[in-house]
Amino acid sequence: MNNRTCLPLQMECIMLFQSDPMSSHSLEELSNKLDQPAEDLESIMEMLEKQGIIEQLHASGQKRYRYHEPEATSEFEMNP
Amino acid sequence: MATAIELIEKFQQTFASQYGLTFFLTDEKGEMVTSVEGNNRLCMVMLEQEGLLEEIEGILKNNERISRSLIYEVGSGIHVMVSPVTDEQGATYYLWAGVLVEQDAEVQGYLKTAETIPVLHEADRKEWIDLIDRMAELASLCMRNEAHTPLAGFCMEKFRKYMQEHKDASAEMFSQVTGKDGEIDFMGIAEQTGEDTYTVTKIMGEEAEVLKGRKFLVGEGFLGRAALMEERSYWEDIGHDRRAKFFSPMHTRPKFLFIDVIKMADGSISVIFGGSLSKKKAGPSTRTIMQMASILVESSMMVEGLRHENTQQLSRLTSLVELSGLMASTPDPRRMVLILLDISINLVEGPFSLILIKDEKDGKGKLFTRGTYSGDVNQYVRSVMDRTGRLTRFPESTSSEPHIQVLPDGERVIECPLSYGSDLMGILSVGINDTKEIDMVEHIAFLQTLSIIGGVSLQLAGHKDICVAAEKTEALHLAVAEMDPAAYEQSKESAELAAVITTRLELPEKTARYIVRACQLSYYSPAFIRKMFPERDMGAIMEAGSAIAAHESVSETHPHSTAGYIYALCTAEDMETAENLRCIDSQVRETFLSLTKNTQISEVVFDLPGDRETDDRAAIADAVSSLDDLSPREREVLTLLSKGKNNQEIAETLYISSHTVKNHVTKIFHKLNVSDRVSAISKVYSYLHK
Repeated sequence: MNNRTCLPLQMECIMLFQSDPMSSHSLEELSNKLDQPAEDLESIMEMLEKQGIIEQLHASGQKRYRYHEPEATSEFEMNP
Repeated sequence: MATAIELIEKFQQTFASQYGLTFFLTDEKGEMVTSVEGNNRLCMVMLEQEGLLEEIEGILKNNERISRSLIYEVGSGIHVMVSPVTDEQGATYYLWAGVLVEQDAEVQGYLKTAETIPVLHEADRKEWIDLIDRMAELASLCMRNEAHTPLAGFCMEKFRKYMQEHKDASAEMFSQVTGKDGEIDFMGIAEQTGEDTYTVTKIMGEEAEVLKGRKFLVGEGFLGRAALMEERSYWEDIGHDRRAKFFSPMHTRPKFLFIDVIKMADGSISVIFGGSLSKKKAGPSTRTIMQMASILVESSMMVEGLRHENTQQLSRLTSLVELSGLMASTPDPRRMVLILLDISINLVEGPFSLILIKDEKDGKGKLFTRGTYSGDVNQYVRSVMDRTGRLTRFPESTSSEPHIQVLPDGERVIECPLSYGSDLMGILSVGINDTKEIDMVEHIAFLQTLSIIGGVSLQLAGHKDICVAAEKTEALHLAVAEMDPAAYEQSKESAELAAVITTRLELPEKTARYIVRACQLSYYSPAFIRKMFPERDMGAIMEAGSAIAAHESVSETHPHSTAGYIYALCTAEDMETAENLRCIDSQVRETFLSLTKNTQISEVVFDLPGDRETDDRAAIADAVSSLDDLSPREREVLTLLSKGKNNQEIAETLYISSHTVKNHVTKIFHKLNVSDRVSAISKVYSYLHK
């Protein structure tokens, strides 16, 4: 699968992580939740991790992924 | 064993089913040489009932003009394609394919039922010509090699079946070519996987499997040369040629090599190659087979490319539908921003995405970033703020369309305004890498849709928020009526006065709204209102106003000094108290003083007697209708107002909220250049008595 063909699934994954930013998911859990093969999801996880949207948790044994809040959120005055 | 004509008919069947055309071959007098293949209903009608064959005979009387493929208009907006085909003896035949119709051609008269006929767009003309060219080339190959009959072994049914079932038809073709007891030992295809890099993606042949995934650069070896020159080539006795080094992993290098190039719809090049590991030279029939296989593979790849493109479009559409659904069900603007940020970087696969947005709650600008922007982000923010007048107008010359912006450090971004109508709410900016032009067009189109969905969703979320706060204010205000009717009346009058003053002073809509609401809720303590509306300014305005009322020091630079002053004036117990307040803003004071007298009078004159109301009903409506500047809704409100109805009664009559009525009344005052209800009513009556 390339990025263009799997866009709907990528979006679905992004939504899932955003809906509960604090929770982490293993590939198997994602596979069950989204009803998609773990192999397809693994490449998507790699892509989302590379783009900084999710992060991998270094738990022992199993790979787990969690939403990564945007790195910088700043405020600025709108008045001149 | 099939004859050349039978083979051509099989090709015609294959292509006819793929393109929705009907094919046939005639001699130079217009006599049919092959059967008519295909299910193009309009073509069949033209042939059977409309004299297409006679027309063709007429065209062929000047057949020297048909030296190359061309598209001929046989009827109004109805076209056939024709291409010359020559055999070994030099005899010329003509391959016909049709019909295509122009988009607005009238064809219903020819067909009893609705049919899908291929459409001829001016932009696609070359592609149709290419198709008939390839078909004619195939037919020529068949005609010229009839004596050798090497092509008859092709199993076209199987090839066609593969194409129809969306299976890999090129692999089937490779398998047929290399699996026969012929001279071709391997055949494969290398696709462009980088700007100058090609990778073998499919290959058939016992020893050739090792080449799968192997890469070469443009210009490198025989294959790289073909990619560079973009032309078909044939090489003999190359067993010791270093340019065949690419094939080294096969242990035995090819002795002859046939190479062809295919231009794909996305502009990339693919290289088809095949050869023998034992024969130094290919026989004529083998060369024909290779050429034919190459043409068929090209056709199947083009069809597959079109299918793939359709699938991708559908997939993107599905994504957008899902995204719209998600945005509609997400009440939190922050989450909407994160969705836009993540989806856009994910789609473009760029280095970063960022969103600059106005926060309506606190009036501040907010910056969200995803990924890494290598330049100075503050400098970029300043640039956006300058170009958009601090997010108050669309960037000049680009209006609300997404556009590519080159940043001071040379980085390129696609900037998409997040807007609702003419209101700019923010900017979505997505960094782009070296993206192909064709992808860029798609990205921009997708991001435009994304930003439209984002803009509308953010606006709706904000509007919903405003509605919730308005309902809460109304509920608290009504509660005062239960607890202290006099205080309720007083706060109502204060709010009405504040609405007129803020309109006169042309204060920003949001500030005006907060002042009016603060006056409505003046019965409560500022601390309570702060607690009830923590994200809004009402509590702060009430605090400033209370301080002014208590003659405490409030600086003129205090963020809510003017709003607090209006609040203090409007909620003052009497005129004397109001006049004794320290003047924070002279314009506010003058406006207040000029209005208060009229407002006091209005209390007396406001209610019109019921019987008069009945008598004047039609006349009032007529008088109001002569006030040109008012909208139809404002006229309705003014008519009811002139009949002596209060805001609540007007709201009930028109099925709108009293808050909306209040807004209409304020606008009516402004348009009629009056300061209160009495003046508005007297204006209506002055028209009534004219």
